[in-house]
Amino acid sequence: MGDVRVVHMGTRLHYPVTITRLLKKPGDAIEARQVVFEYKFSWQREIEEGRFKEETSYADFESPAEGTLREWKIEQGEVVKAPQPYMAIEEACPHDVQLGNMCAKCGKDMTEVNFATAEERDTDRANVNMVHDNVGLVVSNEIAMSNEYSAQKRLLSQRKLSLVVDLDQTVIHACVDRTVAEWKADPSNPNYEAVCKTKAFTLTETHDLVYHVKMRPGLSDFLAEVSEMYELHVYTMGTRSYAENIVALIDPDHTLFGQRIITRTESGSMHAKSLQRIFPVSTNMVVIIDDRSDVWPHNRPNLIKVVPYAFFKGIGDINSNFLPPATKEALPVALPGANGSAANPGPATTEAQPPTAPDADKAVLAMRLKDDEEKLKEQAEEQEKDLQQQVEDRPLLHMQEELEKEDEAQGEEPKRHILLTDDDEELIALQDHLTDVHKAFYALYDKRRRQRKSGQAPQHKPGETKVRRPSNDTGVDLSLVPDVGDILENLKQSVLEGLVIATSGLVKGGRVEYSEIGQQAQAFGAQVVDEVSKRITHLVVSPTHERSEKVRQAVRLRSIRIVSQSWLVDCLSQWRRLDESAYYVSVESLRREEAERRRKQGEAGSGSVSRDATPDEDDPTGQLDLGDDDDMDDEEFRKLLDLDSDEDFGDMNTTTDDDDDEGSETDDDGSSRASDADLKSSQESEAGTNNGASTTVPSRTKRKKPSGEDTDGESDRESVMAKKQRIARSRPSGLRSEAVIVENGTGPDAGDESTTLPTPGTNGGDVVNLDRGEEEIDFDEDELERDMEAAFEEAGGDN
Amino acid sequence: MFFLRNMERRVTLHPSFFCKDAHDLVIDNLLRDVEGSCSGNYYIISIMDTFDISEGRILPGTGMAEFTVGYRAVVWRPFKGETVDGIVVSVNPQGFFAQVGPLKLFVSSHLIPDDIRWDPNATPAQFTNNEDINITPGSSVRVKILGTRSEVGEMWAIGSIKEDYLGALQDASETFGGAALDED
Repeated sequence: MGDVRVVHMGTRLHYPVTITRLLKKPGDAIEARQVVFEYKFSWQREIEEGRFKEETSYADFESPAEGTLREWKIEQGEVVKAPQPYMAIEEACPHDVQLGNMCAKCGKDMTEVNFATAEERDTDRANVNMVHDNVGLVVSNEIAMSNEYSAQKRLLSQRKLSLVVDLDQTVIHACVDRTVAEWKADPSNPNYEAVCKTKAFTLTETHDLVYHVKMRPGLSDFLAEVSEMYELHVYTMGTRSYAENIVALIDPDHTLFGQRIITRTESGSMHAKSLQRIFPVSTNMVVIIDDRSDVWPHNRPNLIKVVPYAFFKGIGDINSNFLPPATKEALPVALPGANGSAANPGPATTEAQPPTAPDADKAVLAMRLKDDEEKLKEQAEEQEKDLQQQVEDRPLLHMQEELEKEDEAQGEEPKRHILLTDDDEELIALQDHLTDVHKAFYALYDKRRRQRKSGQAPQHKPGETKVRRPSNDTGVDLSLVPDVGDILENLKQSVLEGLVIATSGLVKGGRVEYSEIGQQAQAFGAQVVDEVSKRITHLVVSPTHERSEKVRQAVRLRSIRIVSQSWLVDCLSQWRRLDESAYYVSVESLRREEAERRRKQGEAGSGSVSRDATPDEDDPTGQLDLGDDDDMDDEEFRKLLDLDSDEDFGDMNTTTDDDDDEGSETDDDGSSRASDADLKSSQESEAGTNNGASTTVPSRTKRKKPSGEDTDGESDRESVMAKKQRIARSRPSGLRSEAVIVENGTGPDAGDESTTLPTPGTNGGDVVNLDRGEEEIDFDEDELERDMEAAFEEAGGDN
Repeated sequence: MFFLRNMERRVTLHPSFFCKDAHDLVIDNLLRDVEGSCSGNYYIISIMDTFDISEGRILPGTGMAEFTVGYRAVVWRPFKGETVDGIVVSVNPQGFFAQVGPLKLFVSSHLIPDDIRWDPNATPAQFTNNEDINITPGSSVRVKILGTRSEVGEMWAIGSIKEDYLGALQDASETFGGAALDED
């Protein structure tokens, strides 16, 4: 055994010190606290107030370590000015694996602290948690590194990656509602078919509660196939025994997960999961699948968020007491039932959405919010209470009864209502994603290796005689390992690239950019904004907000696609930009109202003098993406335009065509028209300023705009950063649309007749709108007031 | 190592239990509280008998009665250098954990003979010499304790199998009357 440790002098000496005598020779044995050298130092003694006298003191230096002295790093007579290493000592035991403050190699107590060791504690020599199922065992950084590298090498040679799997609502759904058992025993029950696939176990620590577990459809195949590409780990916030029971169900012969299970007992944090707990050195080869992304604050790049699996409707994650309270902006959905399911025109996967928490659950949620900061024990009690409540409340039974009652109330024939359906398809998509990631990872890795090889080849000098040792290339080179986080990001970014998304009703309070759904959409390449403006391409609407103010605004701006939330959810789940046509929200009635209103406006403003187009005049409320900060925006935008139109005008047609090829046809129509208007107006306004004519008119409207913007009450909250991003994003679309203008030679409204979009509102109101004059601006103020009121009520309704 | 040890404990009894069977209740309480507990240095395995139950003394304020009970119990104290038999509960690249009766014991991979290596590819992962020895969860092992550490209510130990006659036991019947069998 020979581990050389270099010992430092520490900061406690009175530097500078002079080494007067070295007491040991290399090769000598040193005991702990044995004096190894003597030194002297000078210092100021205060004789009386304000008077000092310099004195020289002599002192001994005790060794904090024991072992055999290898080498002195200092010399006799040397003046040491600052802390520095003074000796290398060969230790019998490096204490680099410790269990509960005891060296696991020699059994020595690591908590012993004395004067000599106070600066370098033995317990600090091992502080990395490496083992899944025990928190007491810690190792040193060096060991952690060598272990992880050897693990990575092993994975590389097997061409695998690591996959960290969450249990609850990701691969299984568990509940303790005994209704399940009753349904299971009753073949005549409409839910029998779905329920009979559940499995059950009991835990002694929760007083023999029966847990009913439903595996996500296709789970065993999924795991079997994924385990060919990934080494699987379980990371759950459930208890150890819970996790072990679940794993026994999904992996009965322990071939998939082995012992790689980590639970809340070992997690080290009550609220968050951390990859560093299992992979302290490098997470380059780790992918996570979880239904909650907020529990992985530091590992988002590695995370594949899956749609939560909610088989037992209305019952969330039974272990979520230990997680931060779910931000259940999560997409309220009508209960699938006799008349509920018709509301969603989307494909079958929409059932995969999390159901709204029923009232009971909301109460629980509030409770969870309350004790978020309290201790683990209390949370455990809380969970027990929740479980108990679930047992007593039997939410499933109630929901089933309600379903049937609803029917009776409507006087329909009583028919069999199936509350629980088993049609989740998330795992299929998930498996595809995982395969893609795996493929991309190894493609990149192989490419890098090829490059390295070909790059190295010329290094051989032509006449070199020395025979190089043939590199034993085992297909493994750690330095070339790409980061799976980057790969994931690349894969995701392209999905919704170029889209600008606003939401209505999805996020309650706070900015959508920071919300869960917003962050996800951003991870997939979309730009997320709060406001409805011409720049946005999609407005994502929750079923409860189909008539909100934002939707009205979007209806007015005909280029925006108004889609239901399931579109976004499905896109994020399938990693594809889905065709919106199946998800359009019906806005016909709104459009009619709008047309009606505009017609009235038109009548009121019919006496107006028609004048040339001013910025945003086709936008009745002045709802451009212009806020207080807008003047600058416009300015920049114009500058940009100026520059571009002078220089590359000719090229633009081609670039536009290229750009248009991405994405679906309809979309480009929409987005380009959106920016058409934008662009045209700013162009024109510039022309106005240049000519010196009609300058007053635009400026007047401009001043009004902010107040119009305030109907939403959010405009001025946009950060500088977001603004810059916005400007940057608007550039290509601006160019593109300009080219389109040139091509068509028409204004923004010209394309409307030909478009096949379901959203556009080509109603009579528009024509009138074009002719609106200056007087109408005054009229706008009334309208603004109304809008503001409406928005205010809207906002009030939300909360 | 097992010891027979005389000890004393104060047991309190709620007033609602004051009756002619109070002494039995005291003994019940004692058994429930003490048996299987760890007092830091040793585990109390079993109470043989109680030999002295004092008069009850009413505690001011609560009305509870306090009895001082003398009892004799079998205790087990693991010693440094002692050889024990245990059952492996989990293995990892760093070593393996074994349960020796109530005691959790860790054997680091440094203290496993060099020919027995960590094999992560086996299912389940195990320490093996690729011949007759493999250490997986459930294996019986004979371990020499290198050090123990205790805290209130908990003990753990470090062990080694890097010596003659230590390591995996081929056959469960080989296990002699060690703690592992006693406790299970």
